[in-house]
Amino acid sequence: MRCIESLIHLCAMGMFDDTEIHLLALDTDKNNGNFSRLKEVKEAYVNSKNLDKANRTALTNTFFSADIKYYEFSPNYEKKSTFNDVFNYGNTKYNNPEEADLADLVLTDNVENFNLRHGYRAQTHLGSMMMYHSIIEAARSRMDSDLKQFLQVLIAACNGGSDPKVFILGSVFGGTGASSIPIIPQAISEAASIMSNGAANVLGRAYFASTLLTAYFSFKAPSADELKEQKVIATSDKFALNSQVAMMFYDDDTTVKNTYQRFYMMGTDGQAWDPMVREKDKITKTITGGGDQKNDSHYIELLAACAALDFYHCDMAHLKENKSAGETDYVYRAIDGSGKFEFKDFVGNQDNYDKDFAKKFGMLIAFSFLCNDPDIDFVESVRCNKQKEITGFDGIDVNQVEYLKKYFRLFNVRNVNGELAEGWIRQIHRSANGGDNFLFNPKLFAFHTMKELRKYDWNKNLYRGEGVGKDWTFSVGIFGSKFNTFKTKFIEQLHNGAPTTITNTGERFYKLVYDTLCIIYNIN
Amino acid sequence: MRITTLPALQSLQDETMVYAAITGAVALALSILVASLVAYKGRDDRSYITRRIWYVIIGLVAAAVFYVYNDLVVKPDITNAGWQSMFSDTNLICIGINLGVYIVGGIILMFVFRHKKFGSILGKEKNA
Repeated sequence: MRCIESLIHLCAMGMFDDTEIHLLALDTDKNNGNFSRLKEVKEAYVNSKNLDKANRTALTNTFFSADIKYYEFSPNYEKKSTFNDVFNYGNTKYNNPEEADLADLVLTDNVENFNLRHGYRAQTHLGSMMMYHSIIEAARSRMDSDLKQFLQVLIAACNGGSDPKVFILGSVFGGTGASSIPIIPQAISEAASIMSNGAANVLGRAYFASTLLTAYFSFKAPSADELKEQKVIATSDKFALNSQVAMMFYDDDTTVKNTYQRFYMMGTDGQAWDPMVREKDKITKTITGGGDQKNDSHYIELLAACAALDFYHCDMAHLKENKSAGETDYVYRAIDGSGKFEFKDFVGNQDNYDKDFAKKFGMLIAFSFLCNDPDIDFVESVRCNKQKEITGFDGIDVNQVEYLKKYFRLFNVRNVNGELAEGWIRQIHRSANGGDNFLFNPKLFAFHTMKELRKYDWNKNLYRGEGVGKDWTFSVGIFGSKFNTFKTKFIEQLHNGAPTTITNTGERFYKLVYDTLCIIYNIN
Repeated sequence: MRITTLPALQSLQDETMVYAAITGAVALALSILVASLVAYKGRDDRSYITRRIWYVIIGLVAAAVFYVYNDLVVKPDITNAGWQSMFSDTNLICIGINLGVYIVGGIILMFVFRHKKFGSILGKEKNA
């Protein structure tokens, strides 16, 4: 879920220009805290873009440019919540004993009886089978569902000749992701075939890639009592071994290699990261899932999202070659031993992608200050005509602005009684061990109160003093201010800028903000 | 220079009216400079009111200073009481010239530079 969250933030920056993305969030644990947070971020994104779902379109060179269509699917384990329940073990043992014996051969008693509502708990031999089964069952069901809508779009894309790219984001050491990566292409292809009465050939037409995300965090081990109660609990001491075995599988398995055209291998040099360190005083037991599981974001998830970006930019001719030859690319990216991340570490530096990423990421951060700094409150003040020199935007819906502010609270920081609580970018910075390790000037992450935020000079202390972005600053003069410089140029752009075809007033406004910021920061 | 002849008085009157126009123009330029130095503000931006206030103050101060200068410094150089009275009338006319240049020139420039800070003195624009 956190990889998809990072993907949405990349979309907000404008990294997926002119792109319609259909996001299918798959999780067995539908009440999971990270699943809830993903939905919050998604809701904030799509409604910041345009409240009218039917009129959302992909744009270029602006914020929130990608058109995200979101679907979610959670296998229903409310009533039948164990393998034995789903498999109807009792009747199967009586009517088809050989099937029951086969199940007993590969699954232990604990695995057959643990509660599936919090996920597959690193039992991938069970999870792959259960996830596949759930997807097929959903396709056969007469009830409509997000999954079926997603598959309808995929079927249309395959039959329409547009050669869709399908990217799977998941880890190889955990439960749902590790279980799903091997079987998702086959599952959705079979499901699409069922829905289209055999007309759709997703495996044949679509191109597949996936992250192979190895172990990067650890958490509190369960006590003996917890293990006895839960029967099966994933423990992080097994994650490295799980990762190793999984990577061997992905390197060796013929079916996987014939299905996927590209794998993106990624990991960290250790598992020191504690995703719930902020809550550690409140945690008294191992969290298997549910609403309490709300892991902080990590830079590796951003890298996973950048892998998806790379796949979407991948040359189609090369993918076609791989597909017809049954070849798979295994790609990775390594950083130097200093631990300091550069923009090129995430997106490479071919065709100036690193400069593009730096520009868009930085400008989104600047926009977050313009929008959410209570002393500026730019978007709302324009909407309410409190910026007399800026007219034509009173048509922006108040709810769109509220969603935009909510998005920025999730993206950057939010005010909690004068103190600033971490958003996504600060969690990522912390996961990179803070300081100046993560892309931007360390002063961006150094303020912790509203008073300090007001003093932060985002005009000159946004980027680091070396590398990409070092010259991207603007001065404010003796009598001026950051906002004064911005608004002066914004008004100029408003009246001198090129005509736009963007119909949504809010999105037209964002485009102007984007263009203005790029000009004042001297970014070509 | 003491004014002792009628032609000299007439020349002084003409010069004073020219200086009145120049003073109005200089005050206008100062007003434009001050307007550009008043920064835009976030949230409820009322900086245009600040610029408006400075525009009024500068205009009134310039006219007042010009009038007082002529009355206290220039008029005593005129030897004839009757001619002093004529110069006082000219000084009154110069207030009109001064303010006329300032106000008319100012409004024209506000419309010309409608999207700049000086133009914001006029208040809310029609929709772009």
